[in-house]
Amino acid sequence: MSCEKFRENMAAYLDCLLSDKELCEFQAHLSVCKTCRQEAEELQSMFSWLKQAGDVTPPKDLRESVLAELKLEEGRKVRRFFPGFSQAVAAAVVFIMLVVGNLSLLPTSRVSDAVPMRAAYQEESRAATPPADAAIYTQNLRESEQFSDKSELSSEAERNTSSHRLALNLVLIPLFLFFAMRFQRRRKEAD
Amino acid sequence: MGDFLETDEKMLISLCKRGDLSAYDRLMQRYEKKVYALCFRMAGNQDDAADLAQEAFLKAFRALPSFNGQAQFSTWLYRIVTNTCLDEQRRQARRPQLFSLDKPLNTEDGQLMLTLPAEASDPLDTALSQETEAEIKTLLSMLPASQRIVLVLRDMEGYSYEEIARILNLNGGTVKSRLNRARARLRDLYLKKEELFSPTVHLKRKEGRDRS
Ligand SMILES: [Zn+2]
Repeated sequence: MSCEKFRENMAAYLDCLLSDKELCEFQAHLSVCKTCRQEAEELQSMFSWLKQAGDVTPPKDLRESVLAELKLEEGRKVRRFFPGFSQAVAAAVVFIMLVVGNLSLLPTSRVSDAVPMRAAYQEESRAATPPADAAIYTQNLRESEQFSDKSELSSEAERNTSSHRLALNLVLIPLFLFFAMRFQRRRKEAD
Repeated sequence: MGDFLETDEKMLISLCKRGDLSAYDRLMQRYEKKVYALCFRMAGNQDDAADLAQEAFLKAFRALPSFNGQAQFSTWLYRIVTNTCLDEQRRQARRPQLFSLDKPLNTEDGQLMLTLPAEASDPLDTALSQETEAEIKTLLSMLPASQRIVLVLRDMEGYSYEEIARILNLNGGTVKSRLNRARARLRDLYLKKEELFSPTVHLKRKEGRDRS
């Protein structure tokens, strides 16, 4: 066996991967060839030198930094697929606030809508007072007094809620328009 | 790997494919030591190794949807890691070389190595092992990357020939011959290391310019 051919098996020999037959051949050559024997010995001593390489510990923040980068990417992906995403979210939030705000101030405001009618009805009944209708009149009056008692009580609160509603709308509608416009501009930029 | 771990891993992988980052955290936890070790042996320093490991884990997460489970996940992952390391080596080879204390300096007569003596304050054995560690790093860096990766996988990280062949997408014969060449080359360098690290090219701290 030539030395050249022999050395092809060196790696397998050093890793104890040779078959019995190959190992016999290999050892037979080693016993007669000084160069190859020296080569094998040098490699062995190189291995023991290499074995001194210490253990390696990954940095503590390795996984953390990978996850941070992936989270960033996730955000970027959403923005790429949906330009103006944050503006749309902001506009939607303001819109929901508008609807919820107006609805929550609505039940008392329905009463306040009805008040002028009742007041007008009261005036009317007082002005036209045919004696024949006296009984009806007094009943009407009694009813409207009941109404006016209630409206008297709630009128203060009504004025408050309607001014709240006005303030809410004055702030939120322009804000909504602002975000909606910015969203539209973003979409145009993206096209 | 036990059956339980294997099914558990499959579950983690399918969660990751759906973008579950906490599942990916657990998956990374299993492999970070081996991934980082490969990167460290290839890069030779902690900063570059951390960058390489991070890049490999990012690439793996992005590529996970195309992982079909035909290969073992570990093999698939290590392939990404080794490719990342080899790409970086290629990139560095193209860049004009800067003089660095950690890397051999290429001169007309060959490579010139500058080493600083180990910290005097260290206990003797630590200093010795640190010196050996530095020698190993330096000599490994002198191997061509394609040989270094095979030697690192086999002789430092203990992968089998079959695994190496699968990771590097080579046939068994190529792995063996490349390993033979890598070992012969490293042995040559190892035998010459006294020369390479001899006092004449040893840069003493007081004589040398500052690290900056
Ligand atoms: Zn021979």
